Amino acid sequence: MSNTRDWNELQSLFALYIQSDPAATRTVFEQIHRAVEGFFWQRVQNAQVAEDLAQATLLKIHLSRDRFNNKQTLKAWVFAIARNCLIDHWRGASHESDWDSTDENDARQVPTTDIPLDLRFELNHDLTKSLQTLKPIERQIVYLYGVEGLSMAEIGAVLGLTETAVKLRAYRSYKTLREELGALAQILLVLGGMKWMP
Amino acid sequence: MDAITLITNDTRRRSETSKWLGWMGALFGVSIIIILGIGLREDWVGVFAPENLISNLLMTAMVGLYPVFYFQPKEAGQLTHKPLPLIAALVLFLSLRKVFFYEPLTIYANMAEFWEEIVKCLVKGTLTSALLSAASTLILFRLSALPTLTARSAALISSSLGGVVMLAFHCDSTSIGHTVLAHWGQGLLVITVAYAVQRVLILRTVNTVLAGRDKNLTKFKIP
Repeated sequence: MSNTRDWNELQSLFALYIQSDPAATRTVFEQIHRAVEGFFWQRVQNAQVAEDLAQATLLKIHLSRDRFNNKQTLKAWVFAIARNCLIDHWRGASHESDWDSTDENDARQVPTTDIPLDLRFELNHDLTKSLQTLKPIERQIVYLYGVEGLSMAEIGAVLGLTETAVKLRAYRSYKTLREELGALAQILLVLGGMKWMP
Repeated sequence: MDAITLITNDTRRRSETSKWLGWMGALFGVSIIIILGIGLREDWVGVFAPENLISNLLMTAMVGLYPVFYFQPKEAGQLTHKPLPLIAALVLFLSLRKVFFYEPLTIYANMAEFWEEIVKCLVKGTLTSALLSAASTLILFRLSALPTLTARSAALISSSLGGVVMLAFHCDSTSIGHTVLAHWGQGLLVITVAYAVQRVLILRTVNTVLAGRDKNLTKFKIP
């Protein structure tokens, strides 16, 4: 769901859902579910918790449906709700170590199309380690920008920051990642597996 | 049941439930306000005086028609809820009309009598608001298993204002203390209880999706 065109289509369908169209509703929520589940998995590194948070987010979207207006982008609105769910989860859980921990053997988080399998594991291992050097908010910016394709302004709306602040943090995050990854960053760019890295 | 199925079923139910529920709710509310307001009086002196009748009927119309206006979409998917604070302010202002414009005829012999009158009006108003609140909550949760905050607020506030209007029909007190404590107080009481009931109903629905899973999600914050 990183494609802007997909989100634009989804926003049209979302208007139908608000007008109580059951057919559009299922499509809309299935797509939102996919998008937010990935967002949560990236942070909690636990499939069950990510699924629970995704379900909670969908319910909150439904409960807040009349607060959405077409002047805002659906993508930013959805991720703002998802982020609030995540914050509630962290506060409730008081186990920040959980979302900071990583399963280094899991290769699901990097979009590594066309990269040979053996290299993919290595890249994921290093990339996951490098991502852990970032602050949580910087990881969120990297994910929302690189994987979900949100604009800097939309990320600002999700995180409650100004566009300039987001740009500054994004610049620092990618600089850190480049330094951490070193030559690996170049390999990823050549292989096209890290299109999300500017 | 997962969230997507619940939301899809809920949307189907909203699309199939026609708006007559809103009209029926309004008709029920208006009838209750007028019947109890006039019916519970000891006498009907001054009830049909034009200034009283016009003011009370105006308040009744505003409270009764609010749910109907609420369910009129103003544009794609957006519901009108902006008039609610204005309606609430107007009803509360009109409920003080007798205090401002009448001679202070209400004289309580002592404080005991003052509190006795407050309790009488408080009980009658609370029962009326509770009845209206139960009806509006029933209608609201019939329209959607997960109603939005604005819909829930509309139901709560219009129900408790219904109690205020019923007491305006019923009671001729010109005491500001009596009006605020009894006539407005009952509304506050019912809003608090009804809000808690609505939360329980929503959490029960949410638990059909999230129950027995991540314990932290039992702290589901209702938007």
